[in-house]
Amino acid sequence: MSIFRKVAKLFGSGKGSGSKSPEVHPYGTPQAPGPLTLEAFLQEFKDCGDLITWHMPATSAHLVYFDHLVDIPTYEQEILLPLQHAGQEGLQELLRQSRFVQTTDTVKAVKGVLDGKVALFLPEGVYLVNVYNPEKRSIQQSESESAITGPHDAFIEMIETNLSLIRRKLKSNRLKVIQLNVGELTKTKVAVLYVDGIAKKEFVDNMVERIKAIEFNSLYDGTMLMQMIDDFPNSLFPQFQTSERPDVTISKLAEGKIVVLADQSPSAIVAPSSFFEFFTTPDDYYNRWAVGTALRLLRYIAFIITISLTSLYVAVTTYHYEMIPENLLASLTESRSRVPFPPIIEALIMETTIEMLREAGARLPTKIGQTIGIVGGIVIGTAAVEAGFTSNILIISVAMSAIASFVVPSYIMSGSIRLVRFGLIILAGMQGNFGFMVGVALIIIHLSKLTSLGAPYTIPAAPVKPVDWKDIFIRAPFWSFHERPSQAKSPNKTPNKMKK
Amino acid sequence: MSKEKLHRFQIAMLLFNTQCGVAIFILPRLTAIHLGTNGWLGVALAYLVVSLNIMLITLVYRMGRGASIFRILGDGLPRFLLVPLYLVLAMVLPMIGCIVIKEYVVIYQILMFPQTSEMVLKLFVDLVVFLMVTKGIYNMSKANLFFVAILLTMVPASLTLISNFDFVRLTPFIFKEGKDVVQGIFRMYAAFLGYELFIFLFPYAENNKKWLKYLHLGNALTGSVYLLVTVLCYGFFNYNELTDLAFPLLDMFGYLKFPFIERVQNFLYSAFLLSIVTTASMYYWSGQIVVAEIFPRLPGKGVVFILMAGSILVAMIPKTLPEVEKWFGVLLYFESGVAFGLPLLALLSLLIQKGRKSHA
Repeated sequence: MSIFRKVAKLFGSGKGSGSKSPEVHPYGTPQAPGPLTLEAFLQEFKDCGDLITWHMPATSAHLVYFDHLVDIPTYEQEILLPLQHAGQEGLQELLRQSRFVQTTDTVKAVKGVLDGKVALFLPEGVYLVNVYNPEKRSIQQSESESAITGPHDAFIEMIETNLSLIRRKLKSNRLKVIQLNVGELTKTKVAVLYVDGIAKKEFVDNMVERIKAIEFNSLYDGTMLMQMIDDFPNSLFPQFQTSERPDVTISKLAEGKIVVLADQSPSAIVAPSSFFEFFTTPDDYYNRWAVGTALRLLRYIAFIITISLTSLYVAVTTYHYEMIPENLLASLTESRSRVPFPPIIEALIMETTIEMLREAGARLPTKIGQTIGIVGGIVIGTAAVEAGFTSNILIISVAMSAIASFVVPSYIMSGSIRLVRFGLIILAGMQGNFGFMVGVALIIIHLSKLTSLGAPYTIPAAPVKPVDWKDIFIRAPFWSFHERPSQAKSPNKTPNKMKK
Repeated sequence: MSKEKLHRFQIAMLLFNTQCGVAIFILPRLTAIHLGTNGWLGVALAYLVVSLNIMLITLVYRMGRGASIFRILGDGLPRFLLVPLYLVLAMVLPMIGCIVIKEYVVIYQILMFPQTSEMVLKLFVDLVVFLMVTKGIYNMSKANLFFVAILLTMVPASLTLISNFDFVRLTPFIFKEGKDVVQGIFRMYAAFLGYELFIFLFPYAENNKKWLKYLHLGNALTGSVYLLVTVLCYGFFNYNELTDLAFPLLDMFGYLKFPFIERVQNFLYSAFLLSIVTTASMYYWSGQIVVAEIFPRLPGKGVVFILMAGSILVAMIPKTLPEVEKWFGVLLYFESGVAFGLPLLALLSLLIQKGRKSHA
């Protein structure tokens, strides 16, 4: 048993705890199992005040549904009106339509109504009709993944709309969708998407297996699902890329990767993913290739700055003053001389402050968020230096690493990198450059161990796949893209028309 | 451990980084003391000896058709002979790994942290090495690629010093004023050690014979880096200066200047940790698989832990750099014996097997 599990057990969050009470029955099993009758069915929904039951004496029909889950005009047009006007014969004809699915299973009927179907109870039997169309927000721009050029539509919290956004752009019958459910209570719909013939079947099977194996009460978002299926749940780094953009999603599908969508979530999971993919954005492809390449390199530089700048400041000002050039030394010692703390304390205070500012800005409404920026920037920044609390150079270094951390396009990855940075600062404070390099070695060893759906995480740098470098470290011109990336292990590596 | 095979390029880089060790920092001094003027030529001689030895290792691979060294030895030689050999290897290989780390941290202590105990610094490196070894050879080779990428950025940095290079300092004399040419060549050869471990790598490498050439590629890379370093030092300092400087390479890097940073030798020496980690990891890993051959049922992580704990205890004995270097010297003699002896023994075993087959 891993140490994490032991700790988790200590806190009572071990697997299976809390579900042993005798009153609690397994979710989804009817409370009164037996033949499907209206009474038994309504008993299942006892105390559900929002359930609508409509009785039609002429045909002795009962309609049961949730009006906030169904599309009312469709419901009236397709079910209510035909039922009202149908005679006995007309009714039989109506029920023969494929939309009316007969069932005798109580569980299925209960699930159907929860899924936005109308249950039609007739003396002839029980029928379910799908008129699901709940309230949803319109398709808008993604706030966490905005792009300047290219399409602006983004996924919303409804899997059907998201699937439609994908199908609109990827018109192929080879795009397959496997529907699953996750969460004993929430029964969230999850769809595994792949392009048949391009995606590696083993990856698809592995993904489906992992999703089926999830034993969890409730699922609220794709990012949560991502953590339940990743290869190393205790790693700091996300092992699957997530995206709210349909264009990114279909580009990944075309590369031979698998996409997982969860209902009630705008985040699609891409698997397998490599560490370097987290540094790419769709804008790279919509710009001229030279600009795209420059942007990509800029992001890698930003990554290095985020990871190392503050920790190197701490290392240098604590142990290696000789590394600072003479011209810079004067201003640095002048500003450091008034600071009463050792550099590591100074750096940790400032880094924590910046993190607090970021967190406060993220949680507050936009207008107040701006105020926080001013308060943070002017009051804390300037005043801290004037009061002799920190040195100017540290403020520059901390601010630069914070800015650089936001250059990383993936918010989840950016968070991981920022946290890793703290470890490096502490190591640098303990042993200077030596500690810093120990930290770097630890990060590299950890990253090399990681896999994403069993495929190496650090590909194409390690294992070396120079063919893929043109779409990872730079963004080469499109004419040079002949092959799908190695990580997807696609059985159809070269697109058909490019085959010689 | 991963079932994936090591790519030949990964093997080449692993070889390069295993060979590269602390020796690089003292190499110019050693050549100057033992070989005298233009001692850098010794690198080429040592390189040739190592290349021959690598050829011997590749011959074992070809003749043994890719079987692991333990199988080759086990099929031809009696186990009662092999087990003591394995036991000695299981003790010496981790010890070398440990002394490599020790030497690195002792120099670090001299350079930067005279008040910190070298064992504290060593424990940091040991932790990294332990984590590296327990990830298995495949992940080790992946991490090593990043290490090499970082280390090789030093090469263009060192080229900026070329403006201070002066051919006059090289002098037209070859191997004059040297103390002991044979000893000098041996010390240079010892700087290349690390390649002998790749005889244990047979079952983990890709199945074709292409990777054997990449052993030479890795070795050539080491050779060229050593050559670059020694030639640069010989042209940067004069010969007499070289014999006096403890770490000529670091002194040379001390002249490097960048707009925001200068005197980067300490930082570069810190970055060299990435090379030490690979070198030590490879020795510990080899120790681990030798132990696994004697006691196949022991858990891998436990073996690494015991090997590390044991070697750390022994490594507490030498305290100063000369002591550590003395220990290292003895171990290197042994290791060079292994480098030639093990492939020869394997060839002998293969010949015995062949003889048995022809009799049968």
